[in-house]
Amino acid sequence: MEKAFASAAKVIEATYEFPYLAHAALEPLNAVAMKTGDMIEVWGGHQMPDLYQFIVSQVAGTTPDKVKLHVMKTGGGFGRRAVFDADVVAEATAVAKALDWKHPVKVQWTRDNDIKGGRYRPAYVHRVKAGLDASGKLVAWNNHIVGQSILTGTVFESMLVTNGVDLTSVEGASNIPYAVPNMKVELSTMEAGVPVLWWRSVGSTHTAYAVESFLDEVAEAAGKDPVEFRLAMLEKSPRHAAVLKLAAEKAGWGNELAEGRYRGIAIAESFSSVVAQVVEISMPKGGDLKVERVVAAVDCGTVINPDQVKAQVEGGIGFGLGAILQEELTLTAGKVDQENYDAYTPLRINQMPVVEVHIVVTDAAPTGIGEPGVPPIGPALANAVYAATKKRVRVLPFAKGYSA
Amino acid sequence: MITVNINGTVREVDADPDMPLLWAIRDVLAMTGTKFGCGMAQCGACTVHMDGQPIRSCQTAIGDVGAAKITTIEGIGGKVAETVQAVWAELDVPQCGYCQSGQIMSAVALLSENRKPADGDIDAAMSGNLCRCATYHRIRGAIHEAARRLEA
Repeated sequence: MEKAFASAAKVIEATYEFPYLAHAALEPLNAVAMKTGDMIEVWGGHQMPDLYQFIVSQVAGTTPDKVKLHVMKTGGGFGRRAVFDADVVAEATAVAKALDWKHPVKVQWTRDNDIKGGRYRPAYVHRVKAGLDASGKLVAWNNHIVGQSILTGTVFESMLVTNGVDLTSVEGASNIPYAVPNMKVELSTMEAGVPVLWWRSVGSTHTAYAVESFLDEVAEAAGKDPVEFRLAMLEKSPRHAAVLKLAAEKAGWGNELAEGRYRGIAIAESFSSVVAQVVEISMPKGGDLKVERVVAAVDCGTVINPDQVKAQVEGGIGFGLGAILQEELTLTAGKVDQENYDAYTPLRINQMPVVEVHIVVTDAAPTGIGEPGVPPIGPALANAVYAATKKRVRVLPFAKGYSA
Repeated sequence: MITVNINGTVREVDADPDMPLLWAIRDVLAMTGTKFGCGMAQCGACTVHMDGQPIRSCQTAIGDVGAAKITTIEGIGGKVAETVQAVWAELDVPQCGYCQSGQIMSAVALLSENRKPADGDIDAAMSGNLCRCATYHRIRGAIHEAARRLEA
């Protein structure tokens, strides 16, 4: 690895910073608990009912077969309704128990409970370093990730944390599809008192940004077109190559753009699906950035309901765009600074681009679609902003300023 | 007792005059189509109509409603509302659905005043309604489609 960097004709390096993010799901957390005969009944919108049933039984001091969980139709959770300690459900159960099960108990978190109540996408820092040979070929790649572990200390640790490496900290970075002869991905897991949790697309919320926006820098250093540069390294990843080509073709990659319009592209695999996006922005000199159009190409295997695939990718783009542009959860002296949607600011309709989704026709096994629309939007936007400003955005969100 | 005209019916509400209209609608009158999202008029999930105008019921005290006519998602009707609801279903706008009654209330109010809204009009009328699933692309499309049908 060190040898590969030492013999490289050109070495470039960049550091990326990602903030804590809140789910800020529109339906605030809530649950109802009561006892009927010897059965504990709980109502709520849960993403992990089996685990929640077990936790309720523990809180209530009974066995899981004495817990009836009513899984309701629920407002979007984006990961927040799959919590390792079943927080709101455990609260409702504990309060009902403390009242000797005399009353049904409803727990309703307010918005400030939700935003200040923890369980955030962890903050991360990435340092990425690339070595190019004299012909502009990528010969060495080193990505060092620093952040909290989502799964250490939870019931998922034994499944998803190996030798101290939390898979969710490195997914999207440790499995990049590009053929690079020398590659090293490192993880430094640090502890902090801030409770963290998975957030729609999990590790790929940050790894895709670091990998794909840095790759744009590498392509530029190599003097290559970003699409051509990627395709040359995707010979052994035909699925990725096909998705990238489809997005580029449908977006008219390489065609001349109108005055003040700029493009960027990125591709990411998450939840075993591959999504590429071309973002088109307008950015008049001295004016504001506007995300005009996103053309997405998707390979999620066999598709049963194409409209649902399109809806999830449209929504994933809007969800991801809010975070990249303007969402940030900060703490001052251990207290969360934001309380409501005036300070924690998901995307609104006036910021939503036109979205086109193109689906690869395949009979391969179906793969995820709830999350894979999210990861490419950040780096594709960053690459478009670079095209407009010649500045790389390495500290998120964009609202902090483009020149950091 | 406070008297309110809601969905065409005069109802007696046993509540403190300071109670937000939202809680009176949901907890006292047991109509749960109107949603709580933020409690400070930041998200639009609680949007209802007061004399046809969209308002945030979390920031309106029940004691301040007076003789105004309140309409909730349960009570909207007429050509505009029916068109909006039909288009919403046909275009599969909702994902989780939690914000959608508020979105529809704002969209109906917009189209009742402006039969051919431009994108800028939609932004102005709808940007107070958050959708965490980001169904905005389809909301915009559905409003344009409803406008086309109402014109025909």
